[in-house]
Amino acid sequence: MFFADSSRAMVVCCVALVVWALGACASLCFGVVAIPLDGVFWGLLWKGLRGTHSGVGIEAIVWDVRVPRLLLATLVGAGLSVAGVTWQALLRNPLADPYLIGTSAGAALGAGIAFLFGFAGVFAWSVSAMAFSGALGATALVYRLGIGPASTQVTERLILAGVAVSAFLGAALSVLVAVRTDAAAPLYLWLMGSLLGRGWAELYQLLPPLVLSLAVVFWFAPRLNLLQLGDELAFGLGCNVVSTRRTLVMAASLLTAAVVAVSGMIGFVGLVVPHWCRLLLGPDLRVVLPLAACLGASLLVVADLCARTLLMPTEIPVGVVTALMGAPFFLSLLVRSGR
Amino acid sequence: MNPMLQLDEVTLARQERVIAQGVTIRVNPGETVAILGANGTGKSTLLATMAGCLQPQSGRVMLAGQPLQHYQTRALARVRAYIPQMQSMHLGWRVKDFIALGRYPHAANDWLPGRPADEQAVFQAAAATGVTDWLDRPLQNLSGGQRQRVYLAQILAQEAPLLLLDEPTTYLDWHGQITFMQTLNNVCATQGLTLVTVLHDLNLAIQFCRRVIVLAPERGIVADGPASNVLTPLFVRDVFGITVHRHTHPDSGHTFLIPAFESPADAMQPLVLHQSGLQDMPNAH
Repeated sequence: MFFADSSRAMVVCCVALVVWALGACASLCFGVVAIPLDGVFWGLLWKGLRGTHSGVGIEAIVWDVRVPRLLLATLVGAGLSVAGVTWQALLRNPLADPYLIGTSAGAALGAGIAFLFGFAGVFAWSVSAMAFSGALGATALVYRLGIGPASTQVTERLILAGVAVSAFLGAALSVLVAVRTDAAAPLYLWLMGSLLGRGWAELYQLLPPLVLSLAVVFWFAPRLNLLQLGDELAFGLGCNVVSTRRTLVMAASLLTAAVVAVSGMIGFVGLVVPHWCRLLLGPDLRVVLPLAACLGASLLVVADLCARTLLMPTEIPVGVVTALMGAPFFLSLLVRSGR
Repeated sequence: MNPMLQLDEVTLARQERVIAQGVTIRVNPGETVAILGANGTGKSTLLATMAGCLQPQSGRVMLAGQPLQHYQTRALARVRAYIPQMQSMHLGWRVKDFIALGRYPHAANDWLPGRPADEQAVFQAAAATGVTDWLDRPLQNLSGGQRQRVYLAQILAQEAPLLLLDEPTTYLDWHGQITFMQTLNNVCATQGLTLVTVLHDLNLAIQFCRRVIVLAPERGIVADGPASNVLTPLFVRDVFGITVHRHTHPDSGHTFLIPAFESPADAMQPLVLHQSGLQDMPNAH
């Protein structure tokens, strides 16, 4: 149960949704080809919703480039934030982010193999499929080595195993890059995190694992609430610690892997948004998780808009924008919370 | 009458390391029991085994007439509530929400606002522990003693007939210790709860628990009985290595213990050894 006096959460949620809506309109209109926000634009939207757009010219720009990219930014932002909240609660560590326990290193190695050894061009989804497998594989390895049969200091062991596996996979990737320096440029771009050139295919690829893992995380939120109090207290309150942790580690890994596979390494969202939500609303994950999803989605939509338009026609990787926006913001939170 | 809690020939172990063997305890409904012993004798291990946190290496633990391992985790939490040794990490919680977490074993749907029965349990637990005035404050604004009462309120909201507390008074000041134990005692008496608690303070144990179970290193349980009978000066000297005087409390009529010092000089200067050590050091002053 919880007490239903969460008016503050509703306010924050509404603000986030308004920001998202404004960002969404701007994302669809602004760009190298600017579309005025008038009757033509709304007609265009309506046509696409009915599935009758022509697929050429301005309609193609909106419906095959900007709309899928907007949706992708929304889902990636929400996914990263929810994954961040989940990892921070699971590991009881405020410094945890979705990439801490080897997910990003695994994804990078997978993508690296695809780029450096020429699989990237074989299928449109080669890179994301390889990144997805790499991320899941690395996390499974970390979980197996870190927890295994151990029952004490589980969170510490997970983090340590994650750091070690990440270091190893990072080194392995460096070896590959050293061997194929000539082919490394697209890999670097991918590593910085970007939504450039992503479309409906990536969206459809992201959707099933994202929906599945989000459903699991939200369903388990009350149990995760208990788990973040510590294993023994959680068990005393009736939470099956081992199975809850196993399920949530799998769900959070799947979520992170799915997101990283389509967007590369977009940093800071998964670290900053959870902190921000907890500062605003306290530690109850039943409030924090939905709010983190809304805030993360809005944040990434705005960040992606900036990434596309600030240095037009050059595009900045959105991961760079989130770090440039996120780091000062995070520091200001830090300074203010210290007062 | 079925015992609330029963341990038969249990071997206590933590991570394969055997701590005590042949532990047999029977606790009846409504009893208040203190587990005493020096550090490292397995008090916490015993309590965690009773709570189902640790599996005994051998032997059987029965809870309300059923073997412990037959319980689902949630069902277990409706029978026994457990507070492990305190770590104060979760300070962002509002008192009200934190107590409400104790309703988890009863909740039909954890995402919905509480049913009337849930809210009533929370408010009753808050009233019984005297935390009603702080319900809307975050835990971090409370003192250690107040927080400890919030923890107690949380497990009371759990509405389990058996309470297992591990050193609930350890980090509290004197006022906090006494008021916490008084609250605990009142709640157990009025609600008919069974209490098993690990304590370090022998006088608190005598004052507030009818029965004490004493553990000693290598020997397992060395005594189990009424506090005043068990804690004789001879016994305390044997198990805790401290010489004590025994007196009668003028209010309660219970016995209480005060440490004896071999000579008045020792009592006045307990740091004699330390000071002479200092004098040997150059430039100590």
